[in-house]
Amino acid sequence: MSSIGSGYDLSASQFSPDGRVFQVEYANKAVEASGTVVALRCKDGVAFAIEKIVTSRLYESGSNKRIHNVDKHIGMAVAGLLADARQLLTVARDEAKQYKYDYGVSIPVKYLADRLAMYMHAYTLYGFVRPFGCFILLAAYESDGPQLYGVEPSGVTYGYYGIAVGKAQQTAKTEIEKLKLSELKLEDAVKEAAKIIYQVHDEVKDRMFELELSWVGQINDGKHERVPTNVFNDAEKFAKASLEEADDDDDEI
Amino acid sequence: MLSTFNPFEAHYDSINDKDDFNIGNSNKNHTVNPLETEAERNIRTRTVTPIVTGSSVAAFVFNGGVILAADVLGSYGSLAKYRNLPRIHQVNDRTILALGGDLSDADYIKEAIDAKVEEDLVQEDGSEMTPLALYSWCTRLMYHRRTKLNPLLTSVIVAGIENNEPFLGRVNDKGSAYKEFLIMTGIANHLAQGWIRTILENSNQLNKEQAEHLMDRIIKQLFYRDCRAFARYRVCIVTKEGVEFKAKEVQPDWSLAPGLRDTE
Repeated sequence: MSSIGSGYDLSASQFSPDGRVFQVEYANKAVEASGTVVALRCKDGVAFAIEKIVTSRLYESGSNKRIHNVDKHIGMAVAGLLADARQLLTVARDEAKQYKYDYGVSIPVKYLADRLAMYMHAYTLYGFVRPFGCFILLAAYESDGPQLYGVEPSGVTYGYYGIAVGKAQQTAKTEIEKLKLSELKLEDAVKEAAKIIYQVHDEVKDRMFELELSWVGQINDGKHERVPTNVFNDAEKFAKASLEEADDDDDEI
Repeated sequence: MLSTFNPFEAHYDSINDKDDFNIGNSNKNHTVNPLETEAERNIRTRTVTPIVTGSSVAAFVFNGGVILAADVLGSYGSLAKYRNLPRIHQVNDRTILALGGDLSDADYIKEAIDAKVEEDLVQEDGSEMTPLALYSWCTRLMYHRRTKLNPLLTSVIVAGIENNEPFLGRVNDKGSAYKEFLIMTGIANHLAQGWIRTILENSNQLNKEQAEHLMDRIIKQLFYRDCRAFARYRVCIVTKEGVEFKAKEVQPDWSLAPGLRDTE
């Protein structure tokens, strides 16, 4: 009992003497151990890029997706425990379906984020459950423009212009801050997001990774989908090229 | 036999008088008029008659595809109330759903299917509802509802391309179903099934143009004879190349009508 949590981390329903809920902090740790997710909300859409770390050569490529569709128009990207995220995905899909059934229109992503946040928050309140070890990003392109929301394991949700979650979130956030998001077009945002993923990937710690790219925006009538192969290839090429450029610059110095 | 009615005798209302033994020996009828609705008294009620209805759907298979047609009228009894209610819907690139009968129930079915299609779509595994799958699913839905003694009062036609072959099937309100190359629902089943079957069986597989022409003839004949028919209709043609919708209007010729007077 003398180690990190000193016994105050056994349940989410007990505060530590200095007012922390350790279970929630552990959930955040699980998020920070995950491959990086980059989301950019630009002028005409939202782009997701994911660094999916592949721990073995024996895995088939394309398995364990971390970008999903909640609805035709809402994309969900995950940082953290994939299995936990799958439950949240099911909940989000049910919520979206029920909303459409009740009101005849697709759920605004703001409401979905709120409802998902409430659901996740409930799992930080009781001794017999643990918080979800994942950070959920939700994106859509609605009548009033692109939307990007993030839900934390604690059940807190924010709207974002751009965000990075996971291993290299700090470096990635610094990179995002350099971009002029309000002027960026979606086609370019996808490339920039891919570039950031390649930039922040740590080749020493994780050798292999798979890039996942998706977008939602004006370009495809507000449908969220994985980017077409040619866009993907272009983005990957752009990312690799800019990496090599950076390497060359380093050599010159 | 003389009438046994005696005006001086007490007259009991044998229908409303719940006191069969007339224990109180009262001459009065004590029928209580309940203030609650039947639902509030926990009496289960069900729709037993369709309210807003769609008339016939006609569909048949031709060489390389399926053609369907239905008018766009929603009748409220004999009143032509809703005059732009298309009853043929596209489910995906190769599956078509056509509905007749109670249009509220038709709407319910359509919504359920749309939700299902969306469910499949977000899964992103590439699986899609085929006509046969939808036909089978509709069979389950309709049979389930009839088993609950609460049937959906519609007839469902599923059409499309299954394994590169034209598919045409029909499910009725009790969940029994069949696949056929010619399907007529509603009054068309009585008015057009026979002569169209003869035509289709004698012709050696119609092509698309011939099919469309024949369909126009069917709809015209139905318009003449079916009192719930409407001049505006939709034709849907499904082939391997895709789905095509056309909005058309019957151009009737009633010049014969005056000559048909006093024929009874």
